[in-house]
Order: sequence, then structure tokens, then C-alpha cells
Amino acid sequence: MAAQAPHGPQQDTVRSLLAELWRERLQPSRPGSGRETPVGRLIHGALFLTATLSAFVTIGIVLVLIFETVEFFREVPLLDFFGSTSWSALFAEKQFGVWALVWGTGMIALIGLAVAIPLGLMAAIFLSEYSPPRLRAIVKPILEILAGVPTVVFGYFALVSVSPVIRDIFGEDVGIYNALSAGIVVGLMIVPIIASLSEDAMRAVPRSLREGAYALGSTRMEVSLRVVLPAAFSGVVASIILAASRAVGETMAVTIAGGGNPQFGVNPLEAVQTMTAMIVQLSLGDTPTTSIEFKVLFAVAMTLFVLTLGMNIVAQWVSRRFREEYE
Amino acid sequence: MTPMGMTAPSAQLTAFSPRVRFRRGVSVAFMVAALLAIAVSMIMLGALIVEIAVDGAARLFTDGAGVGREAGGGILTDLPTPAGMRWMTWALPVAILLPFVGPRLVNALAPGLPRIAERAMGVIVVAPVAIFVHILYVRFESAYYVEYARAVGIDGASGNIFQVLGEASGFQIVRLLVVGVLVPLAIVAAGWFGAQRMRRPSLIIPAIMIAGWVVYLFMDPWFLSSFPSRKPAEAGIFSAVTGTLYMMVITAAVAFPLGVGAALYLEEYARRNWFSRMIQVNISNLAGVPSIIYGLLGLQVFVRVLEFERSVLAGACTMALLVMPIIIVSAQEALRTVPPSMREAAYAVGATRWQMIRFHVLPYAFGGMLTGNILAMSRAIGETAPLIAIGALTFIAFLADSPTDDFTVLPIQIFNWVARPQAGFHEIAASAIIVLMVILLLMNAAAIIMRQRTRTDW
Repeated sequence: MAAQAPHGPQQDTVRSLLAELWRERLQPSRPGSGRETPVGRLIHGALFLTATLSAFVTIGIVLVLIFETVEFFREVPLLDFFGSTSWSALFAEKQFGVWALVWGTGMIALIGLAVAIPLGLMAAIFLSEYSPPRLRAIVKPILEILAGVPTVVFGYFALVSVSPVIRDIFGEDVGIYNALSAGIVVGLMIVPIIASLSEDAMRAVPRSLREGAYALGSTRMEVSLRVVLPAAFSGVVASIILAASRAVGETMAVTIAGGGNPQFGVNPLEAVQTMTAMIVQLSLGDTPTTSIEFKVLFAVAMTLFVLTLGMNIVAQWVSRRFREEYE
Repeated sequence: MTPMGMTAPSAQLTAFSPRVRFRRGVSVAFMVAALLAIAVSMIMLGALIVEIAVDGAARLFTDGAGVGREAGGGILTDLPTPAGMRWMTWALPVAILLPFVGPRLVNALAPGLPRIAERAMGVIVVAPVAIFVHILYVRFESAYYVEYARAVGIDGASGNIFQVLGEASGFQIVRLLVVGVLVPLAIVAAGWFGAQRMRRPSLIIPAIMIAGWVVYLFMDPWFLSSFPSRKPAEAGIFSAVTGTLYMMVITAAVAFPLGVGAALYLEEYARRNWFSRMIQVNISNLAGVPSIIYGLLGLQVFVRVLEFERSVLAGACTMALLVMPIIIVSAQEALRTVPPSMREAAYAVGATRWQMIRFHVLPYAFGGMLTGNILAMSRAIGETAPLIAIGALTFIAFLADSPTDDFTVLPIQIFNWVARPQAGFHEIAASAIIVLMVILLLMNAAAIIMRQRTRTDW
């Protein structure tokens, strides 16, 4: 063709220029490269700042908690805080034994888990192994609704519905405010977490494992309990730890239904006070910011933060470390 | 037919052994148990809903009109005028339905109009509604001002709109602009664009809204339009609902840009190095921090250091930090659904990175981002603990006039009523819970509808 340029040095130049361009600028699919104008760089910088904001939030939380906690421990020795089991921050004779609150929190979380683990795991097994897809399509959104109910509503439910039932069963000398009713609704609250995260983990187990077990003559239950559950074990355990961490951090339901009685007893029919409920109680009163009541708020919050953070990190570690990789 | 020389397999071989039958029985029992577990969860949820509906319906639907007014004397127990509120509600179904139905009518009555005429028709159809909403709202604002002036003892308040504007704070002017001007304009715009675009609009959203309006007609107007009171029969949730609305608007305005920005950076800009990994891990850890600790952060940073006081602004900023991880994660998921080929194609025609993001990635991911935002807001709307920690008040007998005013929100009002010993307050707490749950349900429904309508299958 006449119009076509002849082969020659000119075309080589174009070709090398193109190659140069390709090397220098046009490798956009690799993140972090690509052509940018000055305005683009400005946007890049602004977006970077928004991303670092989350780091500053964490730093802010830690600093805020540490600052007041240190102030608190200047006035109250460490041993009074961690070495005692009686709490009376609002009385004239102040005692700051945090174990009373930690125990209250633990008791409610344990009751909650005792309710939520059987319900949640069974629900997850049913949804993942037994349920026809159509039923699952109905049940899962309902569980999501359960997860979306505000916690103050659960508090109302515990106080007005669950607590009277418990009093009917155990007799009138059980108080309206008791750990059992709070624990039961906390359990109800975390069922969706266990159910949905465990179901995800179980559904990720490849079909071939199940089919191998069926080929050996296993029943559905045997496949669920001996093949799928062990294979999804890391995900299931992680979901339970996450749910426990949510139960520990839960505030409104335990404030409303748990009663405000920090104590170290084992009877779930008595009123208890959790760390979160104590923080709410002190926040509702108008405590001056220089008072010891204000500072102890942060010391308790620090304990709570370390506890839940630890649980979340363990959950992440479990799901990474013990994950069964297939394929 | 059995071949020659072979006999049919004996019954012994085809029947299952007792052991297998036992195992099968156990398996069926296990399935029943699993079904029971789900049933128990559902029954508890059902019991919760029934309990609240039974307790709350009484106060929500008995027509207590007049109760508050007679016993009034408090600053704003008799505000706003129920008649005005009632009239406003009659305008609502028309305002909801017309932008959706109007264009259909135009198309059915006069098909094949030129585009501009079609659009003009759309505007003409909806314009009366817009004007109606505008007039009603301005009248409401004036009435509110007159009552307020009377309560605090300002003489000669006539409720003239210029007088109201003269006295209004910046926030009130924003409120007037948004509800009195922008909403009517939005209705007109819906007519203009709808006439052309919504030839087959979905009627789900207006149907839900009109159903809500029908329910509202049977409700006791006093419960929604009264301020809290010492007597349960006179107490209402007006300040709580408006406080919730104000806080949600500010929270969304703060959290959405920040969350989407962080997601854009992490998905589109960041190299895979220790820094982006750290941010990612940090975000997932932040999502697990108990909400009350955010409250303490807000108390120290926003209330004390930045001196926002115990205001709507402080509450909204705290809430924004709380829901940001949710927004970031859902925005990241939305961005990941856009295939890399879209980005490559944009680069191939010479787009810069920002042009690629702005014109090729964001339009596809935006629906998913909005869905995540609505879900985050539905989390924020029910949160109580952080706001208690920053010291939001529980008894507010006025409307917030600026973002630095004291405020209360629905869940705090509910908590306050639940914590009281009288059964009367428990009942109105249940009524307030119904209102909160309906708002939540509507938000979730909106999120689901939006997810379905904006999803692109690649």
C-alpha cells in the first residue's frame, strides 16, 4: 500500500518512544502508579488523610483512656483496683475492686453464650446443611433483623417480658433486675453473629468433602458434625469469640435489666453490674471532671477495651492460624 | 428381568440394618433439633415484636388530642398545632405519588410529545404539591415561632415569615431552606426528570410511604408532636425524633465522605505494603470496639478539648467515628465489584487516575456505597450508649435551633422512660420503640431495594 510508511529509523523511534511511554507512565493496573495531574495529586493526598483518620481514632482512644487511667492510679493504688472484689464508687467509703464488675460482665457473657452457642450453631448447621435454599432465603434476613434491633429495645424486652417469666419460675423473691434475664437477651442478641459467621464458614467447606463422607454411607448428621464442623472449626470458634466480645461490650440491655449491684456472687438470679453498666451509671450522674468517679470511669473503660481488643485479636488469630485451606 | 442363573437379591440385603436405621433416626432427630433452634430464635423475635406492639399501640393510637393542651402550661406542650400537622399529612401521599404516577399519566394521555413538553407536563403535574408543601411548612414554622415567642415573653410576634427569619438562628434558616425550599424544589425536579426517565417507575417506594401515611392518620398526633413530660399521658417524642433526624443528617454528612475517601484510598491508591495492611487491620479492630468507648473518646475530644459542649454536633461526630468502619468496609466491597477491565479501559483512552475513578469506578460503586451508608445509619440511629457517655440530655423541651444546642434522641428517650418505675412510662417507651423500629425497618427496606436496583451484573 502506498500510504503505508516504509520500514526505517523513523518507525523505530516511534516504537521505542511507545515502549518508553509504556514503561514510564502507562502501567496503570499496578496500584500506586498511573498518570496524575496536580489536582489528582491533591485528591490523592486528601484521600490518604481520610484513610489515616482511622489510625488516629485508635490512637485517640488509647491516649484518652491511658491519660485518665494514669491520673486515676496516681490516687488509687493498683492493688486496690485489681486486688479487691468489692466495688462502691458512689458511696462515701470508696472501694474500687474492679473484679466485681469484671465478674458481672463475665457472668452475663457466659449466660449469653450458654443461650447463643447452641441456638446459633444449630441454626448455622441447619441453614448450611439441611435448609432448602428457599427457606434459607427467608430465615437469613429475619436473623439480620434480629441483629439490627437496637440494644435498648432488647433491654425493654428483658425487663418487661423475660424478667416476669423468670420470676414466675423461680418465685417472687427473685428481683425484677437480675443477671439471668439480662444474660438471656444478650444471648438472643448474639445468636445472629454466631449463626451467620458460622454458616459462612460451613458453606466454605468444599462439596467434595461432604460427598466423600456420603459415599462412605454417612448420615447428614454425621457429615455435619464430623466433617463440616471440624473443617469449619476455625471460623466457628472465631465467630463465638467475636460474639463473646460483643456480649462483653454490650451496654444498654445489661444497664436496663441487670440492675446496678456490683457483686461477686455466683447466683444468676441476683442483680449484677457490668463494666459497661457502671460507665453508664457514672455518666448519667453529673460527675465533675476532676473527681475520682470521673477518672475511674476511664480505668474501667481501659479494662473493657483491653479485654475486647484481646478477644478480637484472638478471634482473628484463630481464624488465620487454624484455617483449613482447601484446593 | 433377572438374567439366567442369577436370583433376585434377598430382602436381607436390601433392608437397612438396625444400626443404619438407628443412625438415620438420630440424624432426623438432629435435624428437628436444629429446626427447633431456629424456631426458638424466631419465636423470641416474635415475642419481642408482639410484646412491644401490645404495650405500645395503646398510647400510639388512642386519640389523646387535647390531653396535652389542657394540662399544658409548660413551654411547648401544645406545639406544634395538631391541625397543621394533620393538614401536612394530607399533602404527603399526593407529594409521594405524583412524581411516580404523573409521568405515567403524561405518557398515557399524550404519548409522543416532544421531550421538553413532556417535561413541562411533569412539572405542571407536581407543582401544586410543591407549593402546598412549601406553604404548609412555612405556616408550621411561623406557628412554632409565635408559640415560642409567647412562651419566652417576646411581644408582638405575629408569625410573619420575615419576622421569623429576622429572629432565626443560622440553623433555623438552614432548616427553613431545606424543608421549605429544597424539598419543594426536589419535587419539581422529580417531575422534570421523572416525566422523561421514569416511564416505568417502581411503585414499591411510594406504596410503602403511603401505607405509612395511612397508619399515621390513625395515630395520636400528640405523641409525635409533644415534648417529654412528667406525666406519661402528656409526654411525647417530638424533641427525640427531631434530635434523631438532626443527628443523622450531620452524622451522614461527616461519616460518608470520610468513609468513602478512606475506601477509595485503600482500594484505588494504596500499594500493598505494611501501611495499608496496618490500616486495614486497624479498621477491622475498630469495628469491634464497644460503642461506649467511642462515647468516652467523644466526651474527651469533642465535648472537652474541641469544646462542642453536649451538643448535636458532638454527638454526631462521635457517631460518625463509630460507624465509619462499617461505611469503609462496605464501600471497599462496592469498589471491588467493579472489574479491573473497567479501569484498564479508562486508562486506555487516556484518563488520569482521578478521571478513571470519578467517571468509571464511582458511578458503578455508588449504589453499593449508599447502601452501606444506610446500613451504617441504621446502626447509628439505635445506638444509645456513646451518647449517654458524652452526656446527651434525656429531658429536652425545645427544638434544637443550632448544631451546638443540647439534644436528645429516640433511644435515649426510650432508655429514660424504661428506667422509670411507673408502668405508664413503660407503655410510652414501647410506643417510642415502635416508632424507632418502623424507621429502622424503612431504612433497611430502602437499603435492600437500592441494592437490587443499582446492582450491575458483570
